[in-house]
Amino acid sequence: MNKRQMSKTTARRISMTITYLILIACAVVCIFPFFWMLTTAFKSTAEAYSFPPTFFPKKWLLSNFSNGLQVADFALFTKNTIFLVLVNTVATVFSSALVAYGFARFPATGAKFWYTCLMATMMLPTQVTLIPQYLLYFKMGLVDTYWPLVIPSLLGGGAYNIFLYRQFFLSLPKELNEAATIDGANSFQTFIYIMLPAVKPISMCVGVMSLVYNWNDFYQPLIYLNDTKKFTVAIGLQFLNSSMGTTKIGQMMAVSLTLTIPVLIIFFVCQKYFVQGIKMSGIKG
Amino acid sequence: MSSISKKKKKISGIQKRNNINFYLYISPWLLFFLVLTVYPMFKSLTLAFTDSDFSGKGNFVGLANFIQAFTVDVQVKAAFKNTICYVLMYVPLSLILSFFLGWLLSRKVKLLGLWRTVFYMPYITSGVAVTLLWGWIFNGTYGVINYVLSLFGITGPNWLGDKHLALGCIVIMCVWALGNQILIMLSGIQDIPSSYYESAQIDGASTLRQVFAITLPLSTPTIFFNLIIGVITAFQLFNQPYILTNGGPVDSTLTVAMVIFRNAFQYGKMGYASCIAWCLFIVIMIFTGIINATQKKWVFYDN
Amino acid sequence: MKKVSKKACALLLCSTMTAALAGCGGSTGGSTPDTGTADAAPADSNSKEAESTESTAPSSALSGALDIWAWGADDEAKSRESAIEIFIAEHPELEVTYTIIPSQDSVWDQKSAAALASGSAGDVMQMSPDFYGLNTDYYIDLNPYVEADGVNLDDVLVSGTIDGYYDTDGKLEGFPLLANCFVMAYNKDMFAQAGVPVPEAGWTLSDLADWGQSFVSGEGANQTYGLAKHWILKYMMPYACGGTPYTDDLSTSNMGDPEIVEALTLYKDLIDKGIIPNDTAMETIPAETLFVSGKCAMYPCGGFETITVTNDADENGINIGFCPMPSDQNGNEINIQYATGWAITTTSKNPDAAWQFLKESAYANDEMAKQTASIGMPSNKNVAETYYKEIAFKGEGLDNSYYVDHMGSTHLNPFGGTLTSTGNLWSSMIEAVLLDNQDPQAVVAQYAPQIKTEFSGYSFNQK
Repeated sequence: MNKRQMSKTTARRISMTITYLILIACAVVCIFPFFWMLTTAFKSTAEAYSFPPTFFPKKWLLSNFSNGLQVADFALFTKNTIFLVLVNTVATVFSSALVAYGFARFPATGAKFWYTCLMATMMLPTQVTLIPQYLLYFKMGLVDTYWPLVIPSLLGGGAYNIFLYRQFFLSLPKELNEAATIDGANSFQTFIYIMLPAVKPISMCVGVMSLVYNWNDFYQPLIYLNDTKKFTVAIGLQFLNSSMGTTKIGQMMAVSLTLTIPVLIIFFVCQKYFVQGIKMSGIKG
Repeated sequence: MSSISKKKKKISGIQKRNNINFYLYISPWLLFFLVLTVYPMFKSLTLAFTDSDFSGKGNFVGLANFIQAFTVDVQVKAAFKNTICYVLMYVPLSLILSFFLGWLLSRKVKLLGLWRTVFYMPYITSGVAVTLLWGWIFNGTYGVINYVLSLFGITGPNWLGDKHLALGCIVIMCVWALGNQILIMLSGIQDIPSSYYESAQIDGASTLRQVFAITLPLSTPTIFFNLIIGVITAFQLFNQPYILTNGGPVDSTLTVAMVIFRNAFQYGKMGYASCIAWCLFIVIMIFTGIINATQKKWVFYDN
Repeated sequence: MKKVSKKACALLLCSTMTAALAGCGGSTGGSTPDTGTADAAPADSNSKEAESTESTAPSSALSGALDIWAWGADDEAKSRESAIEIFIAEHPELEVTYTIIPSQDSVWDQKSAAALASGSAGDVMQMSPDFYGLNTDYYIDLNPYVEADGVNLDDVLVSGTIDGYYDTDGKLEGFPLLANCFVMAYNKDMFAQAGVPVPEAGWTLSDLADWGQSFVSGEGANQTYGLAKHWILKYMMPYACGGTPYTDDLSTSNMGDPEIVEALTLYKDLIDKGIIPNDTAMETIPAETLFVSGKCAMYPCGGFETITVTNDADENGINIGFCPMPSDQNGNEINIQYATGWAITTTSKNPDAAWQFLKESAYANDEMAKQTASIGMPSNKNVAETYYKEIAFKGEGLDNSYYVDHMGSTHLNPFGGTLTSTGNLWSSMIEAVLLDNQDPQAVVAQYAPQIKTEFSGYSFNQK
């Protein structure tokens, strides 16, 4: 009996050691480019491309940061970005959950058709819909405002997130719904008090992905914003990317790094909210 | 007689409530779809049959664009070939890796938060800066990969300059930034009730057996999501090859989205670009349609 | 407690949602009357000003709003901004707004296309003269303005800077701001060590195949080369053996000519001999790095990068000089011009003010031209030949004079705008020869017919 127990713990220990070894190997691959970004941020352009590569800068240049951050008004851009990220993240989490719940729980007539439409919106390359869409926003007088960047989040949060939520709502046990209905809750109450808490981990995912996406995206803001005072940090980073082959790689990495670190910190801090879903803890009365 | 009609009435009552609820819940998206999505999609569809530039004005040319795309244009042919190759490499690889890493992370590892952050880091940092960095990592003479190989006495190939390897390099780059899929996968796996594992452990099932009997089948809704999204996004790959290789060498990394971009915004052929885009749309539709049809066979929803 | 906070949270979410929805609905509704006017008058923000411009006589008193759209990153953005600020300071009667988009490629293409197509673009749009044929319907003809001003453009603009802005049918699409061409920078120490005389005007790339080998030594990462693989080589090569990519009137492609086969063969030869680094060594790292670290003897240095190159060389203790660009067998210099200018959109409500801006950018405002001089040669003849020409760089006797003197003998970037499709095919041809070891003759035979088809399809050949 005791022996069996011991061999079991040894087996567990071995398998966990392997787990950690694999995780460390993958982590090295994941971190390496980030590490390179970190050290390149302190290198001169010549050293950044020197061979054999230097793992740590010979001379730590802080000027990449000071010069790079002067290229654009990053303080203002950060303020704009924080506003956009906050609105979009909150709106996306809530509105995509709402829409997905509709798709997952109500077998209405025409539901299949609309579901196909939802999926289809992801399948047509945006390059060919950009101009007519721009025209619509322009006719509504919304070009050079934040509306074109916020409306998709407010109204459904995008097909990707709706689809993601839908998958998770579908795998929730039906009893959850029924229990609430018996309690006399209407469907919206069920959604808010039962369903949303049940998919908390995925809400966290959607929130984080939306945050990172909105922080990094320069394409949509560049298309719809004209006024420099409305620009975001991701656009600011583009000011360092010269198209003539004279990009100052050190400065670019320095600014990239400065812009990435807040997101990393937010992500890391949010960790404790990545709580387990309701199925894990079981349905409590 | 009366009981049947009563039943019918009752069903239609539920149906009615379902309908009301459904449209109420999806109304935000429906509004967005009808007001801001339908017109652009419809417009691009009509453009596919014209020779218009980006102003949207042009003559109706019937199927000429489609004929051009399928018979004459060698770039379209190359692009579809490359894109399908890319999808076939990227999608399985990303699914296996994200499931594997998600599962490893779900094994009650210490410092889970740290690992999760580390695996998510590539996604956060990926952008123009990192794509440029990868270009340098892959460089044949001065790159890091070949430098490491040279320490072991191996002469590495010219990664991005070899038309047989370049697409593979782009697959590696994209798989590297897998953060989202791992995160979602982990959520899916963690959502599996622990009671399943407990009873399996009582039965004395090995870890490997638990993975294939419990973890894998119960996370199929998440895998299904990653699969569908993977296929849809992989078919529209644009940024990485655009920045890194611009489709080269000899069109070996030219993707359909790049051909669409070139025609629409560089060559001033929006009509033709729309035509290719709708061809791509149909291809993606077919792929996802097939996956969707097989869904019943392998995706297990808990209810 | 927990329940309360949850409720509050839900309430907050709900209210955000409803408020946002209401806000969106409100603004949609609110702008409905706008929609009608927007159709007729795209630049809706300044409809008031528009009326006043229409009533004022042209050229005399300017007033109203002027919106300027430019692109540029880093130093380019800064120079553009400071030039526009000078214009703003000198024209308090105008309400000038401007936007600088830090992307010249894919995003600018899409943004400007969307804005032009919807009629919401600025009054003044930055453009490149090599984008001809693309925007014909969106920019007004500037000839009447030039005639009305009665200025002889040859007196005020550096020669060669206006040519590219004329369409094949004579329409003047845009007006120059700056132009850049190339000078051959060389490593003095490497030349002295190899005992090779510095090339003089008239030298050819075929000559280089002989004497260039003196610079080749070492292996792998330590190899030294004769000429850096600057991206401009792709655009220079069609001219290398006396060929041209197409006829001057753009009606026919010459990419099937024997000179093109010769050029591809020469290119391959130069790489095989190690004079030009192969793609393994180049492609993904800046060519400049090889030159300023002493691994390449020569580097075609563009006017937009002179500061960077000379500073980096100085920092690394590399002694550099400038010599002429190569010529073809007929003695014609092979130099490529990159130009940037402004155009006025057809939807502009204030073309007179816009013309004032174009004119001052091009030649009539020396202070604005001096701001531009930091990133390229201003088209302003006076500033280019005095102020710009004398800007000196780190290193002995290095200044901008070559660019000014040789701008007249340059080829405009041959593969810009609509011609990008030819350029992309040309890239494939080069890659097929250099990376895939295909026979140049066969490559030309394969691609030339495709390029011919492209040419017959170009809009300016269908008029």
